[in-house]
Amino acid sequence: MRRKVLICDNEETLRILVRAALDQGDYDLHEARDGDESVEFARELEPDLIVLDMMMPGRTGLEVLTELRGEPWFAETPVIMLTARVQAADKHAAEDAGVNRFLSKPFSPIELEGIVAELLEGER
Amino acid sequence: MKGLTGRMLFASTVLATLVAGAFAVLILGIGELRKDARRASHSETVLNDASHLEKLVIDLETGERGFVITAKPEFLEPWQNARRALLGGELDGLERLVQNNPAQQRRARAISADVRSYLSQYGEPLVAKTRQGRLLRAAAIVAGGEGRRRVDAIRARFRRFAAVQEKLAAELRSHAETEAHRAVVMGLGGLAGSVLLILLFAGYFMRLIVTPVRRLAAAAGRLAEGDLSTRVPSAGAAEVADLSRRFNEMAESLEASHHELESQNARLAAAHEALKENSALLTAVTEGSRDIVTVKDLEGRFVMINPAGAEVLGKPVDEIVGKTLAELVRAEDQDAAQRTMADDRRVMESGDWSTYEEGGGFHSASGAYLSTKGPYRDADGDVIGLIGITKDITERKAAEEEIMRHAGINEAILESSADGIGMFDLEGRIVFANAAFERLVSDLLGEPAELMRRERTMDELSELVARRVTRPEEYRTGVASLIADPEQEGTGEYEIEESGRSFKRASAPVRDAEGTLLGRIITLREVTQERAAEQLKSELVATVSHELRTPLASILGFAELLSQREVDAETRERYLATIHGEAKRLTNLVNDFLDLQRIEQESFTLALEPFDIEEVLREQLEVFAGQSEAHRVELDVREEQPPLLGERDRIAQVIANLISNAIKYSPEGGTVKVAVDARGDMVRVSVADTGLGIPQDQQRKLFTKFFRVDTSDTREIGGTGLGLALSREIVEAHGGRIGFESREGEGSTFWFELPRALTHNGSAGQYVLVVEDDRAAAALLTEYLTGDGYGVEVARSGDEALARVDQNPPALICLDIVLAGELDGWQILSRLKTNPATEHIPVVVCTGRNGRDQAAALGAADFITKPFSPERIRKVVERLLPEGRGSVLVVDDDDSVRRLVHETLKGHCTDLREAADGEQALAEVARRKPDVVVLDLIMPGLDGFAVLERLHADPETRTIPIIVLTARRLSADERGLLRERTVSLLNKSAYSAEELRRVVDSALADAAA
Repeated sequence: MRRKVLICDNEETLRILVRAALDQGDYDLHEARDGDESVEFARELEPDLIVLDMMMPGRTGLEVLTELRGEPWFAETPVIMLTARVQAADKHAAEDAGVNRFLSKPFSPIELEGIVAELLEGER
Repeated sequence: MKGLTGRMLFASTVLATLVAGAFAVLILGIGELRKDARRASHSETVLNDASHLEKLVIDLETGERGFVITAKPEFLEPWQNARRALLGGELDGLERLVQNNPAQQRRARAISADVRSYLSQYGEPLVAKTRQGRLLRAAAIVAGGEGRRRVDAIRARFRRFAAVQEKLAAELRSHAETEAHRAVVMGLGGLAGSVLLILLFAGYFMRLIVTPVRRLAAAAGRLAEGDLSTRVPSAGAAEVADLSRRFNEMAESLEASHHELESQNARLAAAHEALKENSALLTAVTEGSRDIVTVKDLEGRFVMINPAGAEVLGKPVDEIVGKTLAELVRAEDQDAAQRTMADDRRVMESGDWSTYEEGGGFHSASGAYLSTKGPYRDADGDVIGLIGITKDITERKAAEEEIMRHAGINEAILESSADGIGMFDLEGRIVFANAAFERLVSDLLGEPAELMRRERTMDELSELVARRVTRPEEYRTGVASLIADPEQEGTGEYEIEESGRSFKRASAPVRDAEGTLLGRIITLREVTQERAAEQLKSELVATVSHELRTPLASILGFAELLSQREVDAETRERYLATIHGEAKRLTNLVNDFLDLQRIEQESFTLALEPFDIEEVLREQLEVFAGQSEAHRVELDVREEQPPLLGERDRIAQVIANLISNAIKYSPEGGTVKVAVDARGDMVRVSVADTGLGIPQDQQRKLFTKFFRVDTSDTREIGGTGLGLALSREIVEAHGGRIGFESREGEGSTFWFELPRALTHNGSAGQYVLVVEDDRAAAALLTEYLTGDGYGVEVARSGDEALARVDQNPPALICLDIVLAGELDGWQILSRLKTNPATEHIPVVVCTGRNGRDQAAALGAADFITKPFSPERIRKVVERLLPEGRGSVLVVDDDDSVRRLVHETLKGHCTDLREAADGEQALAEVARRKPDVVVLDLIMPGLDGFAVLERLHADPETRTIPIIVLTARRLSADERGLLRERTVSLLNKSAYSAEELRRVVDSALADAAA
């Protein structure tokens, strides 16, 4: 079965970029355009991995993550936080909230693909 | 009987008894003698008596015989006398005399009887017969001798009686002699005994008293001669022994005293020596002393003065001595000298030492002296003068004043510090707190500052603060470590939970000059705003970082994919388009951001100029019409708008931004309406859309940098998030306002207002034409002139300038020489001055170049060199534009009154100046003559009346109309005076703004006429 990946970002170009990065792998890609959509789609799809932007309208990436981690079926779901906020405090906050990887923008799409593959490999 | 008294009493008693006995014997003897003498005298009397009787008897017989013989009565007289005596008592008397001696008594009685019988028997009868003349018979009887015999017998009897009596007397004499002898013997014996006894006693007492006394005397003599060791035996009678003992004691005490005296003498001698030395030393010291040493008598005359004093008085010592200070100093120092002398008198009266500070008084003009004065006493302790030691403290005083001044400055610095500065001593008690400290601590505690002053220690204060801060434990730990270690330096920052205010505390130990720890200084500063600013800044940095990283992520990400992966042509095109779009977005972002930064900096200046808003709007509309075919943009200009004052391109930027937003946030096919209308002095431009509207909760943040309306619309809106923030900065820099009304789902209307370009007095044509191609210079000049109330137009080139002048001749032209375009300033000037239609317009040449002479030659009214001050421009323009101006000077010491008058008159005159007192008022008038003066009467210093006098006294200023505005109740005289000198009198408490304006307007009209 194809692994489901949910891409959450309010910036369209970013979503396109992430999608382009992961296009070559055998993933079922979905997109959410703000925090509320992220939570909604996550519950609906139960993705195998989430790529989450930190700054989104409505709920922020952190709020989304915290909410999802509170639900049993998302306790172990790998989450990659993608963000333009690069301060240490933001990284710590993300780690505290239970993020698996933290990538700051600009990021390497190739590296992102590798990380996604690695995290999903570990899932098996 | 040991005592001398007893012994003497005894001796005296014995002696007295003895003497008394002797005397008694003597007296007894004498008594016996006297008795014998008395007896002898009695016998004598008896004998005499008997003899007398015998003679009487003889007389009887003789008388009888004579009578008888002669018969002469003369002879009878003795007889009669004798008979009368005998019978009358003589006979009885004898008998009585011897009544103690019976034998003699018998004999006396016998005599008596014989005599009586003789008389009775013989004598009387005979006498009687004779008388009877019987003389013969009588003679016979006589011759018979009878009578004689009888008388002889009686006489015999008398002889016997006398013999016995004689014998008795002899016996008595013999007895008396014996008695007398015995008495003499006894008296002598007693005397001799007494003398002997006295001698004995004398001897005894001599031995008892005199010897020891003599011994004492000798001892005293020896003592007197200096033998202080002399002592006497203390034996003998009690008193003597006592005396000796006392003498010995005295001698001992004397000896002790002597020794004491001797040692004292030795000391005295030493002291005397020292004194002699001291006296020399004293002289040396006073002579050499730089302090003034003086001695004065009770009248204040100098008795002694040392050379230092003489030098200060500027006279030789011998001229000073004998004179008082007042007699010695100059006339201008008399007061000081009198004060000094009064002090002297006070010291002499009180007799106490005192110190006085004295100024001047001596010949040096402005010295300060410190005098210590005390009474000069003689040996009896009476005050006979004054001793004074005077120090020249001129320099010290100056230094002190300097220190005081510094202390004052230091205190002023401390008090004016916005930082709270407080000091606690080592016990943690507050010893100093400046005003800011009290205020801040009071803010921290949430209590009035007075409570803080109540002896609160650092401990207590910090505990009170700890209860209110957001992190009390951290705060407590910090304070505890400061208290525990007085040497520790440290800073801390804390936030008050309730108010959210942040405070920064810096603390360090305080040491005195020697390095001794005195306490701790605490500096408090409220950093709420700084923290907020920092917070804002760090958020801004984070946001900017985010805003930059987002497009960068796309650019770099797609570039990487392009380089790392094989992609088809179509995909590559798409990637490249994205890269391009994101790069452009990044560029806009950087531009906007830098723009905004520049505007926010204070150095930002706008090139203000009047511009036609409608023209700008039309340009922008064209731009957007071309960009978005999906939207309709309409312009609604209802009437012709006056020119606005501002920087045209910036305002265009704002308009573009608002239209762009309106298009972005309204659905395709929507209409954007742009309108212009005048609102008082302002012109409002509004841009309305029919778009999404702005949610209520987000409206507040709309003008914040990087804020984007958060919509559920999934459409990508883009933009930098800086547009509105930038627009607001631009509009506000123009002195305008920006705002919006919005309803979610219905659309928004954004608007901004800008001030109109000012025109002078509203009258067309009365304006200054500034001919200047440099925008900044033109803006500056415009600002100066509009600030002074003149209408201004700017021409950027010579052609434009000439066209404007032709169209609407200005009242004045400010002309730059160096101009872009064909014509330079000189050419313009020459053309203006050669044209009869324009030659009357005054031209001021404003240039950075030289050319004053050329300007004058070409007919310029004045020449100003760049750079120029606003005052220079104002003066020149005022001189050249006399009509239509109205310059009012408001003179009042009350700031609020001046402000009120200013507000009231704003717009009624072109030039409003203020003066806070009479001096300032006159200075202002001298600087530039006002058209009208509004004058208060009661002012400190030069008051309104004085100002009136001065203005009236000068012909130049006499004609200035004066409006008196006063709260003072005026006397009739004052009213009269004011009527003469002023045009109007307004009561401060009763005038209306309307009244003041009317009065000022009419005064200005008069002044212009």
